[in-house]
Amino acid sequence: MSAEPGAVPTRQFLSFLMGADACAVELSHVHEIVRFESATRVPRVPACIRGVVNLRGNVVPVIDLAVGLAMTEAPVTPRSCLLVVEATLGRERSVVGLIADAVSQVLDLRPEDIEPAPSFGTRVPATFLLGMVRSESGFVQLLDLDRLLGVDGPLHGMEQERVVPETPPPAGKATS
Amino acid sequence: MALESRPDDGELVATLFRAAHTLKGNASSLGFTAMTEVTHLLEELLDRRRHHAVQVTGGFVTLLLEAVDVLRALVRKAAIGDDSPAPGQGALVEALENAAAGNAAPDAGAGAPELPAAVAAAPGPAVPEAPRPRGLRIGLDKLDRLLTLAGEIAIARGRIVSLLVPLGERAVDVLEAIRDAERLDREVQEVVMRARMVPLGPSFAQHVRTVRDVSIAHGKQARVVIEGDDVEADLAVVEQLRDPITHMVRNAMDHGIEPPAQRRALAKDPVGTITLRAFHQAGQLVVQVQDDGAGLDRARILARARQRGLIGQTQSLADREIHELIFRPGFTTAETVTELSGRGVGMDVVHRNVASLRGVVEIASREGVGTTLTIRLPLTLTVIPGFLVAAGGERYVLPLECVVECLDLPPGESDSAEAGVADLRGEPVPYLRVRRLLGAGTGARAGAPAAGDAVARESLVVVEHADGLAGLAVDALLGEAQIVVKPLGHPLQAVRGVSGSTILGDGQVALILDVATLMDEARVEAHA
Repeated sequence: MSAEPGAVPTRQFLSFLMGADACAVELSHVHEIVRFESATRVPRVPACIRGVVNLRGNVVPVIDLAVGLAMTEAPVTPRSCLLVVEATLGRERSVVGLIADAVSQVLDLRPEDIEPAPSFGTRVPATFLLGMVRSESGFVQLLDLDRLLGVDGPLHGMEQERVVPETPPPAGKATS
Repeated sequence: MALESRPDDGELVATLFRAAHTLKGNASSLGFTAMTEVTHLLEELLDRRRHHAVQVTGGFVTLLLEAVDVLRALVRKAAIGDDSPAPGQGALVEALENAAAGNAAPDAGAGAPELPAAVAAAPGPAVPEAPRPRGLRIGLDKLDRLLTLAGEIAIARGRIVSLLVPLGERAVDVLEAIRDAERLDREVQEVVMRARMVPLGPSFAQHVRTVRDVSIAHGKQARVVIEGDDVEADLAVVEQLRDPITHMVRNAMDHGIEPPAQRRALAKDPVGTITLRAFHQAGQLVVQVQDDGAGLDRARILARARQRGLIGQTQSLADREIHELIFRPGFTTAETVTELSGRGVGMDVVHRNVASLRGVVEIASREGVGTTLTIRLPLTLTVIPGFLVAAGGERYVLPLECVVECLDLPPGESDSAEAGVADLRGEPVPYLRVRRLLGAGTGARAGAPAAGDAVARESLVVVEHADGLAGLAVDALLGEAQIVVKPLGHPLQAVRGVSGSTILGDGQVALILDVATLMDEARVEAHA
């Protein structure tokens, strides 16, 4: 635990591709990475919830952040994986799977490596970013998972008890 | 309390005596003098009873129960190292001393009327000498871990199978053996799930005591009848139900059961009856608290609601709306706050706890005849017989209990509408098309199977729900299976029409449909 004298504390991030976008989440949030093939669809939920999968006997929701953030949804490929993360959903700590189109690498970042996110122009809205970092292939967006999955994020609306819907919620509802 | 039904059971008294003695020994060796004093007197009293020096009367039992209460308080204090006397201990000590000294039947306490709470619990729960199965306590977390492991074995086995299948002929025997293992593994899962299940009986039986205390304190008379005490539910559910049942029973005593004189005047049995009942119905766990008392006092509820400005002065309400008033936080019709109820928290607690289990509370009441409170809970963590169907590229499970029969839907009916009416031997049966209801329409995605295409021939599963028969049109029937119910975690547990999920033999997840909710929705929509 104790850092070497003079050593700068670093934060570790796991970078992955979400559609064409390079993103990263703090490594300590990630429980594991598993292969993703298909999920059982769940009716009447925001479109960014792809469904549920069996994670060794536990039923875990699968969230497609690309859909949630109105980015392009990539087809499932042999490189698709689920980042199993623990985060605060609404008010409860939950374990969910995030779809990643390919997992890249672990980044060791010193505080000065992390640039504040610009106020606009980023593919992921700046409110959901911890910052950005430069890599060889361009900028990587560091995601703020607790905000992204929290009450302000695309999952918002799941908290309230649903009234009887006249029609199933349209696919784009959650992204507005 | 068993003592009350069988006052001459010497063995029972001896058991109590030994328990008191052990407690005394432990308390004194640990230096808890307050507890030692009480247990000593208790022991003395029981010893006299053993030698038939005192009679078992209502007062005697009341005294014993009071002693138990004081001891419980002392134990709690002892746990934090406090050795001071508990409230009420002084009075108790005095009463015990009197009784032990052999004074006439110790009808001290609350001036108990003669044995009001006849214990009619059938078949006598909590009788100490009933043969107990041997067992040990095990943490829930260990059971959960065991379950998870069983799941992991299933996955590992799935991998082996997928490696063996390409080998074709040569692997046939091995595959056969693995299928056997699969069956065993599923059995392990079921056994572990069952281990979490406890009967509701004990949490019912404790209310025999509640009713007894209340009837003495209020000069009312009531007996408790318990039905379905062997119905099992997950431990977590049973725990969550404890408080609601207590409040419901107290309400029944306080607002429901009338004083004996009034009951006599109404030509009712002066001893009221409170029935605690549990059973499974249509895939739900049902718990009822029924009393044969006065029923809800509509006029009083309305008056109080007007007084508090909850409704307009002239507004009249349907029964249903009146019932909803009762569940409002802080709502009470009691003129005074009593030890029992009147603070207006009770029914609110019932509502909240039941809602947190995703259940509903219903009230049925007839003035002068009685009130029945019904709690309906969806089945949670448990093993249920299920019926597997396929629709729109997904598989779904229906609780087998609500499936009445299956038939082919005539080709003419096979269109793509969300609902329709089928002809069941001349009876019109409304049905919902699961594929349309839950399938493709809800967020069709690239890569999903072409779920909207109709299949050649649909099947109709006839299900039973609150209002009679209804149908669910599905693409295929896949047969019965024992399924392990897995609750859908946050944030999906609020999805209506889905009561949970299960993991199928191939490792895929299937959703369990909440037939009652789906049918309710369809009905509401039709009327909207």
